[in-house]
Amino acid sequence: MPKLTLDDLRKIQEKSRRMTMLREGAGKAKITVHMGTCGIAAGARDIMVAFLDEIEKKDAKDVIITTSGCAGLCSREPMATVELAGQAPVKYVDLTPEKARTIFTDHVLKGKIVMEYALALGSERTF
Amino acid sequence: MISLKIDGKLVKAERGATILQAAQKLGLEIPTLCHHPALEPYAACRICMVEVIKERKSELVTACNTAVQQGMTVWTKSNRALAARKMNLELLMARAPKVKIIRAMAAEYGIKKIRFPVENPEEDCILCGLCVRVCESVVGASAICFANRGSDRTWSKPFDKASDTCIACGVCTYLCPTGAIQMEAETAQQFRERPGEHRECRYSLMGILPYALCANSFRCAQCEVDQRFRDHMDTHPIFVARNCDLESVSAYHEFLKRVRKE
Amino acid sequence: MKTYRSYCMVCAGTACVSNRSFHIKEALEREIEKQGLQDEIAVVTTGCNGFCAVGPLVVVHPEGIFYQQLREEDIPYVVEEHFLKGRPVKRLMYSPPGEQTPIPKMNDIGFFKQQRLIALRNRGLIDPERIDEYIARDGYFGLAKALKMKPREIIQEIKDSGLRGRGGAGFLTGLKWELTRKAKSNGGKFVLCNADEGDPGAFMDRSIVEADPHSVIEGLIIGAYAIGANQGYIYIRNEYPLALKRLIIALEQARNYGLLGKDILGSGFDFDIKIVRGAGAFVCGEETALMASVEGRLGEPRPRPPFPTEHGIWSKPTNNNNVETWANVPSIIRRGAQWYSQIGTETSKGTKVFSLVGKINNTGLVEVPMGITLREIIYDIGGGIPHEKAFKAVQTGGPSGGCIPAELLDLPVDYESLSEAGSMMGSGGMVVLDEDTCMVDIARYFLSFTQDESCGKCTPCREGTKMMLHLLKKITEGKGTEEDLETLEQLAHEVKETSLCGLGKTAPNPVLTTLRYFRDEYEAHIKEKRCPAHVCRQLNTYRIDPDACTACGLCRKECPEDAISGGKKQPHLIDQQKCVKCGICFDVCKFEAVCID
Repeated sequence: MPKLTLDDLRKIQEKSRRMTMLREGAGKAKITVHMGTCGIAAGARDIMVAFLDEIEKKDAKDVIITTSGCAGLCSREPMATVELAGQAPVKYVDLTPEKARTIFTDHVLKGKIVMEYALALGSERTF
Repeated sequence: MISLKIDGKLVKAERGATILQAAQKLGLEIPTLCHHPALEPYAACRICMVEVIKERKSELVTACNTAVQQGMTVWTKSNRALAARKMNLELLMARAPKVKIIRAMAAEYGIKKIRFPVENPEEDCILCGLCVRVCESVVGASAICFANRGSDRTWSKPFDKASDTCIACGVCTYLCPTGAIQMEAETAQQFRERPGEHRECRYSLMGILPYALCANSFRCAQCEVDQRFRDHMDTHPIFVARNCDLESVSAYHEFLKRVRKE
Repeated sequence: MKTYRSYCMVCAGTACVSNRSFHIKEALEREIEKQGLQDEIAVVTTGCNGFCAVGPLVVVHPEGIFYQQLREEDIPYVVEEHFLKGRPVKRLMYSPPGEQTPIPKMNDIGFFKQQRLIALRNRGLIDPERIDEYIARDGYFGLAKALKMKPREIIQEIKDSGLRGRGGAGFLTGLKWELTRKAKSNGGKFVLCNADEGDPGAFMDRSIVEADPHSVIEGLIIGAYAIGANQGYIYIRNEYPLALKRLIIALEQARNYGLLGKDILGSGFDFDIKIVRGAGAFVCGEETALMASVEGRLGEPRPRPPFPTEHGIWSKPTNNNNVETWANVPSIIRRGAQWYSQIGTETSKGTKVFSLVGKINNTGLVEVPMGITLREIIYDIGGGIPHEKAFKAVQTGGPSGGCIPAELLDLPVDYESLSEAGSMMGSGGMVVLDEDTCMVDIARYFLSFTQDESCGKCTPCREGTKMMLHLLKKITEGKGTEEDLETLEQLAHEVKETSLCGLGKTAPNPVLTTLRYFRDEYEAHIKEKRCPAHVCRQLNTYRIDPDACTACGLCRKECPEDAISGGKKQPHLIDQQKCVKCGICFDVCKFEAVCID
């Protein structure tokens, strides 16, 4: 009896797909959480945790999550930018973990922009 | 059979034969130093270099180990072959300037001046490896070996100690082309003069005789085993080398096996 | 598997490790934990990234931010600024020599931009000590594919790919496999991986094994299956402790997964690999000597034929390829011969790994498509020569290769072009020499290496290289005559023609190529007793420039022969009668007042 079959190889590969994708930097969607001092003070960390939790729960392997500095609109923090490959980035403001989860499900996964939380469209493309 | 041309003469040789063997068939002499018919080719002295032309490409090869090929053209005294041979002889002259065989060869090839410094004028070993190889592959004793690397290479005994596997057969001395290997009189003497009844002779060391069983109280001159070697085989380690071919080596090894079983 | 948002790839190749990269790794882990980011950011140690000149280095994914020359004290700042606040730290990024603007992303840096990675495809992207990460990047899928093919088809695929041996001679790999497959054996065949890399300044194979040991193992299994071997050997030099350690781990993991052993992937094919450690003899890189060493005998070459494909380890047919060749095999099988053969030139397909060392800005390991010019490698990838010095020559192929001069910089790098120029591809060492290099001295240096490493079996290599070295020393000491030069040339030619193995056959190459391209330097040493590059100290005349001398007295104090006179506020003077030309005054003078005439 062989210890390992081709199917097992595939399973190992599938399990590590998110890791591979991150290292190759080739995700389908990118979420940038703004982590300036203002952002952190306003609870950006909770937003980050919410996004990471969603990625894990929904098993969304192709989503890159990253941080950036202050976006210059400190009064509307916490903020995040969602960018789907080939589309204009969308900036969301005044976030809460619940809003983040909605954005994740609707925009990141389904491609539907959550208009009520969005600030602007098409600014500051980052990838 | 394979036909080839050596120095313009057509010759037929068996498949697997070397250029050296084919040339000898024609009576052409290719000089060698490290070669012996009773041993596998070693190709280390690089004196037997000849020029081979095949498919319009010319290359230098050693005659002692290169197999003949159909349609091959060999030149044993082309300028290229001679230049190679001369350079290696000159290098060997610088290594061992006193050695007769090297001096004679150098003279034959018209080498008058040695352009290289002589490190040790008393050096007499040219590292042809005949002693080491015959002791390993014919005698089966491996009592002589090489030590060190590169220009420090030298012949030695394992761990630089008097070897306890040496059976004092003397075949190394017989093959040595320069006289560098001398059987120490003591080694031979040891076998004859070991005291007591429980001692080993060369045959017990080789596993042919059981330990300490000697019919004539270690008087080696009257050795029965020696006599049996001669009667059965007309051979003995030293005579194998004299018989000069690989077949007698394997016959000898077969014989050894048989006597060991008895 | 944990869901991280970012991976921090710490280079743990030998060069970065000796620059304390393991300390950097620990500091990273410590600081990440301090900031509470341990569930978001993972720290991974990888094999050699290649850009050894700027190590220790860390690449942060997914952004691909390249941090270089890190010190432990930089780490808290990096973690807080970049990982916590999302502001990559500019001052730790790489800026090309002479430029101010840093380049944040690894793939935008010139050193990486022109590279094409096949043998090194996983470098910096996986932890070499985790087989799952190799599998994640398509590892062992080539094997799975191969095991479904017929051995004949695999050999055909390798033949069609045009892959040639990366160890030096460039023999067609597929053809060698076919010869071994067809060879008759009365009890098994072997595959062998030569990891006894020994050229000074070459570290291709070490880096491949350190960064991606499974690629070599997978290649060996595929080769063994194609050839019909059930036992493999990897002969690796013991001076590569990190590579050895990772190889042992990798073999163990492959065995645990059943990728080595019985019935591999359910194919019915059995195969395992043993490691044999070399004891540091350069000549054991020669395949017949290597095989003697595997058998436990003295590492000495023997005449060929018989070739190893018929008569190898324990007299059984043996297929020997070097590390880089084996590492190319999985990708060729997985992606097909056609894909591979599109890369490179007509006769030299695929890519080649080179180690760039010597007088070059970007010291490191590069993999480039065959046919790229030397100029592109040295200037575009290598970043040119430091301190704006002029390029003089590049030594390719290590001590067995030759020096290629500036006028041949546009030479395409492939097997044929390099050997026409008198050098060779070799295993891929590239030593760059600048205007301050004396070519006679370089020839002497490389020859002293091969002379020392000669096994001493055959006359020309043992005696000939010794005499060549003697003549070169004479010339660099200013005692050479025109007759010596003639003798040297003749001797070099005969050693090349008549030596038994590759070591002796190639040892004269540095001498022959420098004679071919830099004969004037030899003549300057002999006729004018002058070393144009001021390297050969015995030919230098040291003089103190009275205008530049500050009378500090340092040279006077250091001179071992008391040849320097002078007092306070008095320019110093060298007594040429007493001077032994040791050059110490030149080395110690802080004001560049000691000149060489």
